[in-house]
Amino acid sequence: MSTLHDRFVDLAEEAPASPSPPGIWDDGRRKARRQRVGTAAVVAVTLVALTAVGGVGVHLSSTPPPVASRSGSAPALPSRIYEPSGWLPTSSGPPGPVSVVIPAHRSHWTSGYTWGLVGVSATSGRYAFLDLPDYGSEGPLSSDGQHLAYYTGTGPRHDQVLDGLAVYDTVTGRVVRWQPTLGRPLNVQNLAWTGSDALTFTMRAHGTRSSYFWRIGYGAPRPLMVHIGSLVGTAGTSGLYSVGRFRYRYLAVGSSSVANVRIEWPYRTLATPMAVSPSGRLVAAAHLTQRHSALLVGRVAQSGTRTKMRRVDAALQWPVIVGWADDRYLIVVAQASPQGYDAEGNDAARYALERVDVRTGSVDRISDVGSYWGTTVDYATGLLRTQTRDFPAPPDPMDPRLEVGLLAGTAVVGAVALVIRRRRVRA
Amino acid sequence: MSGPDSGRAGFEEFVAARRPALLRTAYLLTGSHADAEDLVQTTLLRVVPHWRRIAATPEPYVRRVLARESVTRWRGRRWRERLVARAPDVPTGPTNERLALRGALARLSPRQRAVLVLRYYEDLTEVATAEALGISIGTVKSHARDGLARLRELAPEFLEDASL
Repeated sequence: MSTLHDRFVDLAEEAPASPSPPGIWDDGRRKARRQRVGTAAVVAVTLVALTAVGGVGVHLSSTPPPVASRSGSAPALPSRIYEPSGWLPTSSGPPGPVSVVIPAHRSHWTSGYTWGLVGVSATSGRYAFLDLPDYGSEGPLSSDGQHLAYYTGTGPRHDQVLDGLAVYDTVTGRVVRWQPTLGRPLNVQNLAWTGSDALTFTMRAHGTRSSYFWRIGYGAPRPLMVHIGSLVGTAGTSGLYSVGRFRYRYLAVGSSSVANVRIEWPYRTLATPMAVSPSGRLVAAAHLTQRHSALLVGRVAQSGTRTKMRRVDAALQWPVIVGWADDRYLIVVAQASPQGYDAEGNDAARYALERVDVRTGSVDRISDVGSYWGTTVDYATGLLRTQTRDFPAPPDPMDPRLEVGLLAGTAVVGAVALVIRRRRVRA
Repeated sequence: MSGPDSGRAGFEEFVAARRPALLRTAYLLTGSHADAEDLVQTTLLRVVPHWRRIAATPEPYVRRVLARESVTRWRGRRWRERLVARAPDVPTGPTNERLALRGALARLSPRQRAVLVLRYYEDLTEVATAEALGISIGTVKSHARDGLARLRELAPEFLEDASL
């Protein structure tokens, strides 16, 4: 009885008995050399591709060096405002006074985006998301760019409840918060700066709407004895508030002195928004309808005399008032491209910051503010009287998910190429 | 001036001495003269770059390359070709036993065939077989068991009296 081993030995007798071909040693060494060279080439190409992808990512996310300027580090508005990337970094510390605040999508690796505020440094032009604890919604920026008011919120992102106010100091990084105990969501309107360190607003509580004054760093907001509506603008520590149809009120919140103002409009409909000049002597309004737009200016007296608004003959399309540079020049954001307000493809319309001489109607462009999102920008109005400055464009970082995907894909392609190559060499 | 490679002589000596044995194992693994010669040639070419390291005891490494190469190289090709009826190489008049065993081996999976050849022709232990093929001992056992069962099923008249 034979074993399986014996059967195998018997079958193996059929094996060929051909002589050994010459040159196996040389062929083997040559083949190994070719394989090493090929492997090195694939690895080199993969490394170059990885470096290129990584380099592009680093290049796009790098911040250009600040531009030397004659005016040194004096605060200024940028001569061009860029749409911020959702992948901009968050400011690691207080950025210093900001010239512009832009509401923007902040992108996340796994959860789409949330809203955030991008601050543009008034001295370096650097863009960064501001680190605002419990940020819920944007509020106004003070005229000097040092204080940013915002609403705080609680709860999940898609069902957030606004529950208080906060002020972020862009110079010290300090956040002052006020969270009233209401038992229901905060209902604050007409939030506005009076001067650069005090806020006024109206709040509905217990069925009535009351006006408040909050000097930052001096405790909680205090109720005002007089009712205020939306702020037209401030002149020093006095603010011009809308208190009814065609009726306005100058209020010096520090002394609580009040002066009623009545403004006559050349149109039946109200014009908004408005702005009062730094001296408090001029008020401007933009009157926009579906068919036309007009810029209106009038003298206003705190004594309560009647003010008649006149139309400024300026070549502007759909101006939105930003503020006064001084008693002669008004700064507006206007549509710079030729399409009309309701024209087809209006999303692509370009906007610009324009300086209007209210005496002559002449217009100078001082800054490009990009597409429609540029109209949502909040300015440090105290800088409107200064010269704009050219700052470097902000970084436009590549989506890190795409970058990682490209790097991983490149590595996988390189690995697959190596495997295929090794198999071919083997065959 | 570069003299002859110091490893060449040892390698060529090994090839001269061991190539017939390697061809026999390769023939059992492939079932074809041409494939056996090709497998041995490929194995030796792959061994050359490592010769300095294995020159003292080349046999285990060469056997490992041969066995693994037979599985990876032939699995895709021969395993599929097995489904096509093709007369095996018959150099000289084979006995019925050889024909039966060769036909049955050809219908095993490449890894089953390699396990049986290493275990029952090369007389390797389960541990050595597992090491040669780069698989676990459990896999060696299951492949040996399944392979033998398959052989008995495919060639019952021949293997029923064969002991292990």
